[in-house]
Amino acid sequence: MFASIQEQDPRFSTLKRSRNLRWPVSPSDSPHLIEVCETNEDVVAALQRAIDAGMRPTVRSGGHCYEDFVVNNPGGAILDLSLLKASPLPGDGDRYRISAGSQLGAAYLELYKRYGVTMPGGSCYTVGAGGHICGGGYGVLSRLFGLTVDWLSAVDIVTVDASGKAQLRRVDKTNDPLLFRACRGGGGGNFGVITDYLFDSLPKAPQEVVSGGVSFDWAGMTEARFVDILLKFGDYFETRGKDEDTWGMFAALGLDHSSGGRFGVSLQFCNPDGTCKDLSVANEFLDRFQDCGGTPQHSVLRNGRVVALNTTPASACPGEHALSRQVWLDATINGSFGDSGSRAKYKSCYMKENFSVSEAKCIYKHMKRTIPGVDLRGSLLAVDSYGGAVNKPALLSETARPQRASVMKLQFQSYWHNPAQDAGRLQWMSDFYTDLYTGENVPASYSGTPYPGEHYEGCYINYPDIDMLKYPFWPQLYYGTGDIYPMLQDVKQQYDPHNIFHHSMSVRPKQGQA
Amino acid sequence: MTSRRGFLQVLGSLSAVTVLRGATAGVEYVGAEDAIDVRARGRVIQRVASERPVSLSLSGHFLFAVNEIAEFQGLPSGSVESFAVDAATGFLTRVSRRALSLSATMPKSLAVSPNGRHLVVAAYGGGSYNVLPVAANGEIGRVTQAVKEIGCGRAAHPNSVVFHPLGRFVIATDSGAERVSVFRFSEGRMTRVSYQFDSERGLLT
Repeated sequence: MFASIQEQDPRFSTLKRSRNLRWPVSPSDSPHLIEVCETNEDVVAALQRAIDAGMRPTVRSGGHCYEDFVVNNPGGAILDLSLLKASPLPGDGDRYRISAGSQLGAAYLELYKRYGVTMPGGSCYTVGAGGHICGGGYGVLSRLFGLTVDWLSAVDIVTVDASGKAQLRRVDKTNDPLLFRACRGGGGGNFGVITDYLFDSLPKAPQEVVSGGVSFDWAGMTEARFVDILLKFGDYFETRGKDEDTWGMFAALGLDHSSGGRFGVSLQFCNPDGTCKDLSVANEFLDRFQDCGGTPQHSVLRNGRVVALNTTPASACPGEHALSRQVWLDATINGSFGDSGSRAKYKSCYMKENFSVSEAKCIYKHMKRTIPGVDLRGSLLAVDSYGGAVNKPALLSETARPQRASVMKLQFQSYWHNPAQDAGRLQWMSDFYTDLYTGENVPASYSGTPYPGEHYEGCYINYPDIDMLKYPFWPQLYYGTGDIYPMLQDVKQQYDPHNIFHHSMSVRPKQGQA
Repeated sequence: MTSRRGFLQVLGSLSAVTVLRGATAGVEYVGAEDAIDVRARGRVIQRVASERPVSLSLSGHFLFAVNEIAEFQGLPSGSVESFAVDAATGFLTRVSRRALSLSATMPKSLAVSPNGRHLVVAAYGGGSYNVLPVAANGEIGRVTQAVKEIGCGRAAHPNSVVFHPLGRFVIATDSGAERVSVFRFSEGRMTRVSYQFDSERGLLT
C-alpha cells in the first residue's frame, strides 16, 4: 500500500521540500500530490494514476538533487521512493539487489553485514541510491573499484509506452541493452522510474583504512605558496597517482574560501588488498606537503568533507605522518547524516591533467575575493582525486559516463541559510567559474566552461548546474562529444516517446519530437 | 456530414485568430512573425516586439499573446505575454512575459477565463495544457498546473482552447490525437470530464 499525500495533509508541507532549501522557488511550483511508494507494484500504480490524470511525475529517493528537477512540479505528482524495500524477486539468483529508495549508508551497511562487499558510491549517508547510481555513482573507493555503474548488471525500471501504459521491465546487456546503458550514467529523471539496481558481483569491502591530512591557515598565506600546494596535489594524480598501488588512496583538496580561516589536504587510504599493512603510499603523498607550512592533523571524512578531529599538531616526520586508523565500516558509516538542509549551489569540472599556474592563481584570487554585504563562509572548491579503476577505456562504450581520462574532479560548493544571501552567493560562484574556464585552456567558442578537450573533461551530471543551459553545447559538457548523448536521445524516443520524464536538464527529445 | 478532422479544424480555427478587433473603435491587433501590430484604418499605428504571437486574446484592459516557440530562457518551453491596452488609443504597453511549463513547447492557442483571472494555454509541441494565474494588474503568474495528454495512441498536439462563457469548462481541440477534450475548470484547476469524439455518429461521448 502507499500513502497519497495531498495539500491539506500536515505532512505535505514537510515532504514537498528539497534538501536544497532554495527549492521550490515559489509555492506555485509545488506538486499537487506526493505518492509514497513501498513496493514496485505501488510505483507502477502511482505512475499510472499520475499519467491517467495528466499529471507530470517526478521521482525522489533521497531528495538530494542539487537543482529543482524534482520539486519544481506545478500541479504534478512526486513519486517518493524512500520507503521502497528491496525484496529478492524470482530470477535474481545470487545477485545483490539495491532498492532505489535506499540511502547509501544503509546500503553499505547491509551489503557489508550480509556479504562483506560494498559498492564504490558516494560518501554521504543520506543520499538516495535511485538518483545517485544512475548518474554514475562516484565515491571514496572509486579509484580502487571504479564507478558504481561499472559494476551494474541489471536495472528494474518502470517505463511508459506510447499508449500511456506503465510497465516494469528488467533491463540488462541483452534485454533493452540501450536503455540499460542509459541507466549506467545518463542521470535521473530521464526515461522512467528505476526501482532496483542489480549487481552480479561487487568488490570485497576493505578491512581498514587510515586517514590524515595537512591544513593551512589563510592568515599569512601567499599566492606563491597556494599555487605550490595546488600544483603539488595535481602533479601527484597526473603522475604517481596513476600507479595501481596508489588506487586505494582517495585524496581531497578542500579549498575553503579565505573567510573560513583554513583549507587543507586530506586522504583516506588502504592498500589494494583492503588492508593498511603498508602505509608508504600515504606517507609518500603527505611528504609532498612537508615544506608547505601546514599543520598535520588527524582528520576523517564526513559526507565527503574532511573534518579535523583535533587541532593539536601531530608529529610530522618525513615518511611517518599522523594517520588515524579505523575499521573501514566505521569510516564509511560514520554516523554523520549531514545537516537537515540549507540553501546551496554547486558546479563541477573534470580535469585530465594538473592545474596550470594561471588556473591556480585564478582560484587563489576568488578564494580571497570579498563582495560587500556577502558572507562567503561555507563556500569552497573541493578537488577530489579521480582516475585509477575509473579510467578503463572499455567502460566508455558500456556505460553512459564519458569521463574516463580524468585525474581530478572538482566540486564548487556554497552553503548558506539566509535567502537574502542568494544573489551574492550565486554571483561569487558564477564569476569564479566563468573566470577560471575562460582563457588559455578553453577554445573561445566554449569560453566559460570546462569543455572536453586536452585539459578538461566536462562536468558531472550528478552535480547538475542549470547555469550551463545557456550554452547550446551543454549536453556535451555532461555527456561528452562522442556517441553517448545521441544514444540517450534514441533511448528517450524509444522508451519515453511522450517525454513524460523531464526536467530542465533532462535528455532532450530529438528535433521535431514532443 | 462534417468529417472528424474537418470539424476539429473549424473548431480549432475559431480561437487561432491572429487578427483581433480591439475595444477601441477601428483598432485591431495583428500577430506578425516578430511583433504585434496595432492597426487603425489599415495603418500600423504601433508595433510591439513579440516572438511569434500566434494567438491573441483580449480581456478587460489587457491583451494576451501566446508565443509559438520551442525554447525560452534556455529551457524547452513556450511563453505567454500580457499587455495593458490604452482605452482611448488602443496602444499596448507590455506588462509581463512568462515561461510555460517545461516541455510545453510551440503553444498555439490561449484562452482567458471569463473572470479574467486565469489563462489556459494549448501547447501543441509538448502535447499539454498549462494553467497560469493573472493578477489584477494584468501580470501573468507562474504556471500552476500542467496537463499532459497521453494515452490517445498517438502524439497529442493540442491546437486550440476556449472557455465556456460561464467559465466552468474548458473545451480544447487536439489535431494530433484528433479529438475534442472537455475539462471542468474549478479553483484554477483543470480536470478532464470527456474527450471522446465519435466521428461515425458525430457525437461527443
